[in-house]
Amino acid sequence: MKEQGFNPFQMAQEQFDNVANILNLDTATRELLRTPMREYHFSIPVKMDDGKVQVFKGYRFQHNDSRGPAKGGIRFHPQETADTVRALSMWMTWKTAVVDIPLGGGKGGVICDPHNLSLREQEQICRGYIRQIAHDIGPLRDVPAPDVMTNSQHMLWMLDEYETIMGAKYPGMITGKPLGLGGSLGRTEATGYGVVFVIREALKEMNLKPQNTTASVQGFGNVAQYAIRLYNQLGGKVIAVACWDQKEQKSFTYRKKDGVNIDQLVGITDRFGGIDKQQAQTLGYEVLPGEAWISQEVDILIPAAIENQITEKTVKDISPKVKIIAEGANGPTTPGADKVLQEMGIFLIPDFLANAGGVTCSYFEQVQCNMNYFWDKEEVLGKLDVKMTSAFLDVSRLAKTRKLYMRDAAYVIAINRVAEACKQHGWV
Amino acid sequence: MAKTEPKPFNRKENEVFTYLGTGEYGEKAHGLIHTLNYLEQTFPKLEFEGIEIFIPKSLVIMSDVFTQFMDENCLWDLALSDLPDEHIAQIFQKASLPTLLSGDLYEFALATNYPLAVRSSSILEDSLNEPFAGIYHTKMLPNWYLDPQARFQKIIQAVKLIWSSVYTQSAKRYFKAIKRDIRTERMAVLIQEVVGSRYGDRYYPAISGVARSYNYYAYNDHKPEDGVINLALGLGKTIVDGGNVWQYSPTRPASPPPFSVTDMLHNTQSSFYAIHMGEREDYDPINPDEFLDTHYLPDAKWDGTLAYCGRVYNEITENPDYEPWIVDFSPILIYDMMPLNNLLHKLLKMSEKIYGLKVEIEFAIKADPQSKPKFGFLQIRPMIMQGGCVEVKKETGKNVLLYGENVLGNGFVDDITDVIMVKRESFDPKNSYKIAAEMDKFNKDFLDSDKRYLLITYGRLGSSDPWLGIPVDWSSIGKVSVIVESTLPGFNPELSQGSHFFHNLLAFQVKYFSISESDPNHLDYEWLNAQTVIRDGKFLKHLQLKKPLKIQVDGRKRTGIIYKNEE
Repeated sequence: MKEQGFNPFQMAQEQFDNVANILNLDTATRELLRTPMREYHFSIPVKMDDGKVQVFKGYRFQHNDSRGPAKGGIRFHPQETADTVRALSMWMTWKTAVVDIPLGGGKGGVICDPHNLSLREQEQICRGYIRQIAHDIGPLRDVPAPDVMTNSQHMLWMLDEYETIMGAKYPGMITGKPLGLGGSLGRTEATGYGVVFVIREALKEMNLKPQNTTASVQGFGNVAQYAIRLYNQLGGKVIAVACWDQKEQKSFTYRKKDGVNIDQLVGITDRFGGIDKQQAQTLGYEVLPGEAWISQEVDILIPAAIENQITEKTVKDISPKVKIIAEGANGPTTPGADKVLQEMGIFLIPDFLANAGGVTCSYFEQVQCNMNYFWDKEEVLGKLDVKMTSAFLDVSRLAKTRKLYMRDAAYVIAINRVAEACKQHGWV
Repeated sequence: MAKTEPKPFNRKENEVFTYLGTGEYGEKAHGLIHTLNYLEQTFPKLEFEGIEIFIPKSLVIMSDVFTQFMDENCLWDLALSDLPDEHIAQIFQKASLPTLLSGDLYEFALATNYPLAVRSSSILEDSLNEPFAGIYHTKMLPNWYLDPQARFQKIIQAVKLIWSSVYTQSAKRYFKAIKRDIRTERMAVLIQEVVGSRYGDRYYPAISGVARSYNYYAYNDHKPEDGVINLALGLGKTIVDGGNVWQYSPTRPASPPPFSVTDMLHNTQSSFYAIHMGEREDYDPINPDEFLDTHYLPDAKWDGTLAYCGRVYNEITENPDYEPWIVDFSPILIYDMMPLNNLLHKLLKMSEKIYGLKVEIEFAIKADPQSKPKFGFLQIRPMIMQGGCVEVKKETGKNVLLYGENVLGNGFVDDITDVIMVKRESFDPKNSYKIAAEMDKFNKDFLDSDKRYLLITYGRLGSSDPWLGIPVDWSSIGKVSVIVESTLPGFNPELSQGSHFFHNLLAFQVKYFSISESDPNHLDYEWLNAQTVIRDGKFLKHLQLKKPLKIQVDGRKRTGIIYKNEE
């Protein structure tokens, strides 16, 4: 597929090159880490409900597994590209390294739009995907997980197909499974809560009381919803939420200056995180253009939707009041915008640190599956908090001592860990 | 008064006193803030004549976290229901902690591998200045496990147990008795390092104690203003539960008590509490005493702690294998092994000056021959006092039900028409537990009314040893106004003189008569037996009087009289 316009893989490589220079990495290590170690491209033929056969394009990329089995989600998205999956697999490597869990980075995707597919058709895509890749993934090689527009049901279909092919039970083959079927308590909340754990630590470092802060959030899916809940518990107030409107095929920002009511909004939201515009207006929310979330006069911006949202163009709309950006989504900020944010003195918590709660909890899920002993929710979330906080403190300490931008500091820690692992394996 | 405030829990720093969450500290944590301030003012060097003074590390989980826990897990209706205590506690165990607490507590567990006391810190107790002693649970944790996950689990189980203890049947009864709405209660939790040392599988302080700057039990020529100190070997639970402990006046630490050696031997502390530091086969997270063990004096002798606390009365026995120990702390109080009494005396005087009130100090001492003794300052709080000037005439005669010279409290009572008395003729200490249960039932009759009653009982009321008296807790006699505890012929234990319910007596202005059967002004049983019985139990009877009794107590002279009011 021809890749046009913004290319996340180019962006990921630029970020890597920048840090490779800081770390003074040798050429072989750079070459190894600039691209995925393995790429699987395949076709998934599916007999649709109308009897016709449609062929879907699928990907599974394993960027690096020097620190452990590759780990990363499987996305169902109509605009999926190989380069997006490449970039995301690379970010997964950095993400697992920055939170110091013994896993590598991978990513997968299928070009499809689940909104237009029946459950049976989605199940066939899941099973077809696994039939194509079963021998190249698994608990000791590459462990998939839910991602954009995939959920625990998709994971269970995939697991079932994998176990059928392999003729044995492999609960650790995939994460994000439903509770009671190998899933972990706290997994649903993990990414969103993780975002707030690091925001909390950033506020502490800046001597800001959470109860005196406000935030604007892009996205209203799982990550955003749980982030808003926990941020509210900290005492903070979210005044704007932006999300995609499936009917109108565009996004809107819903604003309430005295703070959005999360339960109220969840009550008028569809399963893909789209808020019902009419009902929101009835409940007293102002309906603003989709991009308005970024220009709100708040202390914290949480982009928690898709990549490429804070660009050189949109970064100018950010209010001078904004002190923290916590990237709940993957790759929401372009390198050009990054430079502007740095000049503005905004404290940025980079994506692969801020949203690492999900993969950390997936790791916990694997550990529990391997033990076949499942922890209480507070144990999962307690450990998650400790892991995220400790990763944040490592990054922020390095940023301070070496006067680095937070994203660079996080990359330095992560890439250094992966490069060291490759060296110790004798690969480079 | 407090100037120093605890700091928010910080994973990077190791502060002595920190808190988690928002809301209020509650009574115990508040007391600790006072303690912190007090120490800063009085012992800036944290040392006194070779004794190191310190505050054990403490973490408070603030009251809003409790509310959040109850809200998030939808526990309110269930907690207020009539479900048995065990069911409520189990359901609390299954509920999840608020997310923001979990991470900090896990970090706390990672950094903490010494025994912990997880204690209730009630908001109402703090704001109402009413005593809730013994109403809520405290749980001791060994917290020695190498796996931080196991330590974390035990800590959160204990926190949930403390929260569930707000809704025990006993707590609900108590709230009814004091006419407070239990729904207004919020519970902070204080997690505190336990002062002590490890001796094999046992962990305990060599000495624990409570010092009070006013003594309602002053005997002989001791003055109430001299204060009073209770000392015990091992954990302070022995004192809190009203067990046998050593009580003395700080002005005369070496003065012998008013008992014979035989009495002392009979009533000396013979066992002590310690935290069990070994493996446990049983698992019982809803048992507050899950990790507590009772040990006996030979264990303390083996550990070397008895050397600080007791002496052997060899002269009373010729059997070389029998060592009759008396835990009277003579090595310290008479032979100056450590200047503990000087320190306590000074603490009481200085704290009275600073607070302008009578005070109560809780402490524990870590002592071993290799290092300086360490005085762990656990709590300082004002004592609840009532004033008023009453003159009691020593009278006998037809109209006097009782005159006593060993009476606690102060003031007048003239509204008592109900008497609950243990049946004297059929009293047998072997039925003590059954009598306690019946007392609870009789007390329930008063819960819905404003009426209070006179209780007549035998032996040490509230004793933990059923052979010495009725092992009742305060919630089972919460509507009492006046207590008479007496000996009987052939049943002559040392009376408790209210010591088991010290706080409750003060707070509810309960008058407490301790009398001996041999006293010439002893109860007029003939008159009592002539009164109308309106409830006749197996062990107790409830009498209804035609006219209210007139009761007067002079707290300064410790005298009291009860008039039948029939003339």
